[in-house]
Amino acid sequence: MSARKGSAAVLEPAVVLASGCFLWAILVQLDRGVTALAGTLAPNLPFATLSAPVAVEEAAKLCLFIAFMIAERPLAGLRLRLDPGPRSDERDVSPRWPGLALATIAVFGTFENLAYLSAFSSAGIVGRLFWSLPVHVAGAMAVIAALSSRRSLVAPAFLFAAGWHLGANALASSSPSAAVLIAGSVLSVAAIVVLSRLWFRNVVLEGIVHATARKH
Amino acid sequence: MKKLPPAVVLFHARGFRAELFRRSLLWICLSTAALSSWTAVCIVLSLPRDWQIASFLIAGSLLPALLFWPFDRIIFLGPLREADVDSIVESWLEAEGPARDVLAERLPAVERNLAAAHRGPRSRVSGLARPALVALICLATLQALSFAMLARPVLVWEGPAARADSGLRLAAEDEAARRAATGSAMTASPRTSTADEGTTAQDARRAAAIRDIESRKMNPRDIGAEIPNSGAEPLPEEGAPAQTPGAESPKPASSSGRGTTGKPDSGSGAPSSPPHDQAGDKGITGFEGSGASGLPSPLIDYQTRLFKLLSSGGGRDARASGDLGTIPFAELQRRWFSSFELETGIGPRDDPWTALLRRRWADILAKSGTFR
Repeated sequence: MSARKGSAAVLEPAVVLASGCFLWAILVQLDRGVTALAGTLAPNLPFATLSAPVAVEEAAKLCLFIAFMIAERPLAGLRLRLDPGPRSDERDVSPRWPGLALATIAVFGTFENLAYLSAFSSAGIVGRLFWSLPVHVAGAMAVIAALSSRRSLVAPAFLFAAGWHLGANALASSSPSAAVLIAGSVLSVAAIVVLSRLWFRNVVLEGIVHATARKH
Repeated sequence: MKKLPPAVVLFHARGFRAELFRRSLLWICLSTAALSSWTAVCIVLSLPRDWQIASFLIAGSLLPALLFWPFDRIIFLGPLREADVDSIVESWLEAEGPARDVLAERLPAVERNLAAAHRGPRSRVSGLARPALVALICLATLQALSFAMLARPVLVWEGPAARADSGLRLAAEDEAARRAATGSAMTASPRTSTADEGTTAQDARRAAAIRDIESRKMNPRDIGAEIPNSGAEPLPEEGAPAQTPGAESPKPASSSGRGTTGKPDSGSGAPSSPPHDQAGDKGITGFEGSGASGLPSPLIDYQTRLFKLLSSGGGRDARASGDLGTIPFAELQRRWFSSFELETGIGPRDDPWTALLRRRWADILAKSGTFR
């Protein structure tokens, strides 16, 4: 993990924290509105009520990832100004936005879990760490990895994230048994393990370590 | 875009896994330190349990953020440059034209070096000594604090109710319960327990007496003399002298032993006993059935009993705060001490005396031929 000094060490965590909080606050309002709209327009279609907030949520995340990608250069410039360093040629200028975007999703999941805790004061909320958080993280990993080095795969990755999220929500709202919940949690964690290989290839290997090879 | 040699990919994959492992250990150290510190704060401030759950949620939710926080390039390129001293791989990636072919000839040797290169476990835990030390210090501080305040080790704060499980608090509550029990024994009428026992014993004796009467076909007039404390005066035989009003009647079972006060039965002629005690509860003090109660109000007795039962029946989890209002307390009293029969609608009790009279009367009518 990077050991940045001074104000530069605070810059990225502050941006991540603010972005995650902002995303959660926006999505709370959007989800309410979209759910009410779907219930009004299609009252006899519970699938629409279930899928509309998921689509909005994943679209908002995609917008956030693109914003992070666009802000990579200004953010790096700000970071360099905050921490000039002795020699500019020793600086690590590899893209950092994928990790920051994924951390933002983790912060968003944290706020969501805390909101659930305030609404349903129970120790069972801790189970969301194994159910909803892996769903958010897996979907974000797929989309970010696609945006990082395989732009043509962004649409399939987005569909995967939305479908994964929708399936988890539908399963959770059907009052599943404990075995189903455990199996779903294991599946989500396994998906993260598999997607970490994609993350390694697309983000770490091609995006960070040998970014210069893309020029050829 | 050049395709990286497989050995280089495998080399970086090992580095990626090692970095994830190192970050996982770092997360364990940091979350242990943070959760221990926060648990100590929760214990000191007696925060609700939700604060502890929230800390778990935050620590768990931030694991992906820590795992995939932007990787520094040097994490991967540093070991590569150590294994590839001449930077053949990086030069080959940058090279074009004839230089690329020259470097490509030297790539197989570098790949063999990379495949043989093995990162020891020390590299996986590098830089973790200080976080681990901080985590241990925080954990030890938490345990010392929990032993000092709760007299037991604590890893997860369960809210202010967890303080009730501490030895100090329990000792105080046990003392309060002991006082309540002692006060109840000192002030409450023992009629509740002894009366129940006496009723059961009386029922058994009545049933035995009825069976005896049934077997001997005695005169119903004698039944009252046979059944102890049946409540019915024995019917005088024709010509027999009437019973002396001051004669001693059979003692009820409840008065034959010791009461909860431990006061032995002083007999019917105890000078200190009030007149009503001679007829029923000898040597028993209290308001119940007494015209000279030592208690200012029966409410005190009921309250003492309620708290005693709450303490003995509820175990360590149930406590009386003493903040109960008058109306809820009265409702609890009504529900606890009210008659079970009044609420459940139990049918009339089949009194053996009445049943025997009914059977005898039916026998007489049958013998007289009324229903023939």
